[in-house]
Amino acid sequence: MAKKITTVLAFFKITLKETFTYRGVLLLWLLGWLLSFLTMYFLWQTSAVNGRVGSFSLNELISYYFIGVCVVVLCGWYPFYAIHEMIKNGSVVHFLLKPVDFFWYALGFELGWHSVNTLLYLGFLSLIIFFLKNQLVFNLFWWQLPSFLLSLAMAALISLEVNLILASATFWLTKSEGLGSLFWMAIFLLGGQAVPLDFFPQRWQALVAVLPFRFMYSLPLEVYLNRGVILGLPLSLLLGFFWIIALYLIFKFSWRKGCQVYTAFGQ
Amino acid sequence: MRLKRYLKLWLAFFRYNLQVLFEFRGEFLFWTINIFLWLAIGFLALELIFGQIETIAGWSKNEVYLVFFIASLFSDLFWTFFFINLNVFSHLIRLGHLDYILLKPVNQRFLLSFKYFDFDHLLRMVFLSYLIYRYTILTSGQLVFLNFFLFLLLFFCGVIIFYSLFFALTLLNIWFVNLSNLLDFFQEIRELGAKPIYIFKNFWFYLFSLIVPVGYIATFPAQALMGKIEIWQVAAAPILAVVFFILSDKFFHFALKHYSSASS
Repeated sequence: MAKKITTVLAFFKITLKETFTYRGVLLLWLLGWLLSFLTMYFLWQTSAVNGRVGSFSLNELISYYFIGVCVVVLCGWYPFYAIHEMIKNGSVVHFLLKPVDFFWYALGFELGWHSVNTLLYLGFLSLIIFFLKNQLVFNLFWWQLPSFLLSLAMAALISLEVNLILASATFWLTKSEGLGSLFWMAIFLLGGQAVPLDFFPQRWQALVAVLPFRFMYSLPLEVYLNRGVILGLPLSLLLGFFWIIALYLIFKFSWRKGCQVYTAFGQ
Repeated sequence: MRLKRYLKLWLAFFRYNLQVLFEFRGEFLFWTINIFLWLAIGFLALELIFGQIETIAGWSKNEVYLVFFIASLFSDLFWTFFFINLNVFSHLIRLGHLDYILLKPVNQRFLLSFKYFDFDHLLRMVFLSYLIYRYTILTSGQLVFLNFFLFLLLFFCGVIIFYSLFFALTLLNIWFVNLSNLLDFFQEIRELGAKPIYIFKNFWFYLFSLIVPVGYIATFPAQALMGKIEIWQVAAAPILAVVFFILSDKFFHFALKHYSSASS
């Protein structure tokens, strides 16, 4: 275990340095998220009737999208395209030849990237909090903090695992960008990025609630807003643990099988 | 004569890309399905929103769908003609291979902007054209020729404005070296334009109408189709298009002076 932690820390440090070298990427993400938040903020501002949208108050809905940005900054661990590219152009060989478990490499990489992200975006997030302090809802009580942190950790891990599984399909398909696109569709609609899952018709909610996409985005928001978690908090967390273990095993299996059929050229 | 030469060149690029398309038919089919799925997802998201509210900034459900379809057509047009070129442009700068373009006896901007095509969006563009016609009828009862002409004018100006803006933003690679998420950022801007611009008020409305004029992506063209366009919105369109194009061209030449190769 100590060896694995050392590996994670080493990749974490490398990623920190890389991220600071290419700051433009961070700036663009920041602007992108700002635009996306502004769009939803103004959309609901002008559309709410008597300060309400369905069962949500306007302030709850604004907080939903704001905390949503925070969840993506912290837990949007989406390394699909980077790993897909590494498999496609053969550079993944550098990792396959080293005595490093690829899962821990990916974990270290994402940890580094999102640590920098979080640090840099703190200023921007504070600015939004300052301007919207009268509109943002803070419904998280101290005894809910462990559940909230747990749901955030789940969001990060499940996102990472789903991305790793999809990326490992590249071993067979060579070009698998389309799978990445399907993932974005799923998280956009079924994860709750487009609209809260409460907006789904009742019969669809039960299905959406058990799929892994909800755990990547919506669950931390459900806990934060304290409006009642779909399926209840204990069952939801249990289901989250199930997905972490199941997806990890699927990743290990698909990665091992993928490496067996993989051929890299000219490395 | 010059125009004829460039038209011939453009057609040669077109033929070459068409041959590539026929080589990878399976991929074309997969992406075509994928893109139609995105349309369905966007439509569903709007359905869910309208499950909770009646109007968005005073725009009815069908009017918002019209805006959404025009924005999707705009997006398809950009994916087909521009995004792939701007993506290649980014790579050329990053890898220091831009020299190969700069040394060719052709207008560099033309070569950087029109060499590649992405045909995956073609079928959806046809479908979207039908949907735009259908929702114009649903929202305003008929398609008036003058309105259609104004729609084309505003849409075309919107394309020039955002082509110029995206081209200029791609040039920032010369300073930042790696802006690998530029296309994602462009998509965010497109997303902004996929909602009626009237959700923004006061300062924000003028910002997104005249400074970063996302209103010309879909809202103003939709207003034109419905016969609700205002004179200033029509008058500003060609002026903005010319200004954006000239500024981006000036920026292009300025940026090239700061480009340094990587021993390619």
